[in-house]
Amino acid sequence: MPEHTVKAFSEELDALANEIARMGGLAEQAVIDSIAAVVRRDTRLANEIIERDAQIDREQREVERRAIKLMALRHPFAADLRQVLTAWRISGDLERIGDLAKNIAKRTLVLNQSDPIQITKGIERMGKIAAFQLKTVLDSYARGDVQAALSVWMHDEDIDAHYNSLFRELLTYMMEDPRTISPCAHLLFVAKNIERIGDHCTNIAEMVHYLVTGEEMSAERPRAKDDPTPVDPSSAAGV
Amino acid sequence: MATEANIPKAQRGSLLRRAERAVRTLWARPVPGTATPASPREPTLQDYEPLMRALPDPAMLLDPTGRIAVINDEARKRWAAEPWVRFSAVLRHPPILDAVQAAMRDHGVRTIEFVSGPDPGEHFRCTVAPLGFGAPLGVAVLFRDQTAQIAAERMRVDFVANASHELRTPLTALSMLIETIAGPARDNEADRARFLRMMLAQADRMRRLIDDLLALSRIELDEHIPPSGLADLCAAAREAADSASPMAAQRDVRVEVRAGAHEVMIVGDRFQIAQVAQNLIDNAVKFSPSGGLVTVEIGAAANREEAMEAAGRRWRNAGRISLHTPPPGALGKRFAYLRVVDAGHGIAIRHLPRLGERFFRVEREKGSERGGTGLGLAIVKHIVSRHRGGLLVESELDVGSAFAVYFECAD
Ligand SMILES: Nc1ncnc2c1ncn2[C@@H]1O[C@H](COP(=O)(O)OP(=O)(O)OP(=O)(O)O)[C@@H](O)[C@H]1O
Ligand SMILES: [Mg+2]
Repeated sequence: MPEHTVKAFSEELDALANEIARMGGLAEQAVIDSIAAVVRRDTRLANEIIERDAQIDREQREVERRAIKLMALRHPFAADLRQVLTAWRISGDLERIGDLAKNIAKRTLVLNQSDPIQITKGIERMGKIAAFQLKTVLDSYARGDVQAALSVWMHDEDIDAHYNSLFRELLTYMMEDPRTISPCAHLLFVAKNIERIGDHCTNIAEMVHYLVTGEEMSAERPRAKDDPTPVDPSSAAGV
Repeated sequence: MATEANIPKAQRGSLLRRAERAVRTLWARPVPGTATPASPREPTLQDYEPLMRALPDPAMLLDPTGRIAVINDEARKRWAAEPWVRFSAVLRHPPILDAVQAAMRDHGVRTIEFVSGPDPGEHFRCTVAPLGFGAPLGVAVLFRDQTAQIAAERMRVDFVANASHELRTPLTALSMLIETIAGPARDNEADRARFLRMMLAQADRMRRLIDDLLALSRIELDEHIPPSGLADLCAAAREAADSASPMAAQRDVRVEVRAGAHEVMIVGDRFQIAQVAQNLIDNAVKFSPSGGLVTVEIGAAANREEAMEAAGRRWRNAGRISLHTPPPGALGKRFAYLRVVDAGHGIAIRHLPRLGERFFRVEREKGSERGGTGLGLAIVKHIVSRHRGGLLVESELDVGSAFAVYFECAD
């Protein structure tokens, strides 16, 4: 009988990991698509992303439900406890990533109503880095690969650097032609969202580290401190 | 053979008993076709392992809990996955996870397409099929990588777009010249003569482009039919140098063919080999500075590797690339090469991989001023590939370039 319990428990942990993988897949797709939508000015794709976000939210509640049930009924400890805790935390980050992608999609809809701005190359580059970070960190979670997680954690500054240079570029653009201020501001927040997606990737990387080694990451992550953007009220409210 | 005589006495008895048992089991064996089957063993996923191994594409079998039970080498290589790993740890693309779950539930077969990873990504077509009768054993997940196919499709579309674009340029020039002759230049004899000469040049350019396109499609048509006949590399080089001499004289470039007195015979289509020599020598002349020297060297080597060394690895500081490499081929075959060297301004390393791509020119504007269409090397590459030969380039900026082809010798 006890053997049965053990087996069922590991199956439940598996189900939790499967759920995270599925959420990760959804979030990854949302990020890749949202970048494509801005760059290609694809209204249909943007609408699709917005619709699909509800699914990520549902999955997150499902992960939460499973995690709570596991904690309440099984009292997991040590590695098992870490597995439940990290799944829970990661699902939160993935849900936020989904929101940020959705926010990019919404801004795409607005941007598509004004003339194109020849500055999306920088957005595309940033987006590619963020998508790659997300892919790497999700792979590192799936494989329990601390090394890969560390590389994600270290490379976040790349996105930050891109963000800062894009910010300056957009500012010059706005000053040269005041009519572009509104679309440029939207692009700025798109860039900001991508940067925050990168931040969530590093959070997940920290979780992977904790999951595998049992220790929190201690070192201070090197990052560009002078963040020039104002807080975006709409994305903070999870538009 | 062991006979009764050379077997130790002590063992004779046991040997007899064994023989007896063997005979008895033989008799007991059922006659084929009339037998009642022994109680059938439950099939397992592992039974499918030989089948999986035989599949040329990535394939996996998943057990009902969603873990990998059997995985073939193709899939292993691609995703670095192992048996017992959860499938969702390998692929998390939602449509495929959904298809797997649904197949476990309703035993239906599904085919989906998905792109994995950031742009351009890998395109897969994936079939998910349940296994087992009654009690579900698991599901089979079979992949077909369509990345190359989709890229080829994209290239074909690009090709049509490029070809039309290249044709439109001289056509636009032509109509503008015609308008000028019909209008402003109608009454000026000298202008008219000049514009007519320009029109002739544009018409020439279009004809060359169409000739090249036709040549290319002919070569592509029989690219998979091995050439028969014999071709002499030395003769091809001399003829090509001769027909390049007007252009060379005009540009004050000297072309020198360095070949022994003997023929160097390869198995090949004489006209196509002549075309290879022609295109390479034309390029060398075209991209040489005034007063420059172009040398064409023909040589032979004991095998493929030595030919590659001799034909394309001479300059220490040059960038180099193999634009086409032949299959390993038979052992002990001699190879011959033709190497065309110029003292032009060379090609930057980052451009080398694109040589041989249709319509590729390093500097578009300069190329069109020199009348190039960017098909010459594409033709060379196709001919070389049909002949199972190789094409190598070495180039150093401000020093020069060397283009070389090598082929198996005729016996
Ligand atoms: N010997 C060379 N030196 C420098 N650049 C070269 C040389 N040969 C080829 N190239 C570069 O490669 C490009 C492609 O060559 P290719 O022979 O295919 O086209 P082309 O000579 O421009 O036109 P075409 O041969 O169709 O009339 C050229 O435009 C040139 O930029
Ligand atoms: Mg040429």
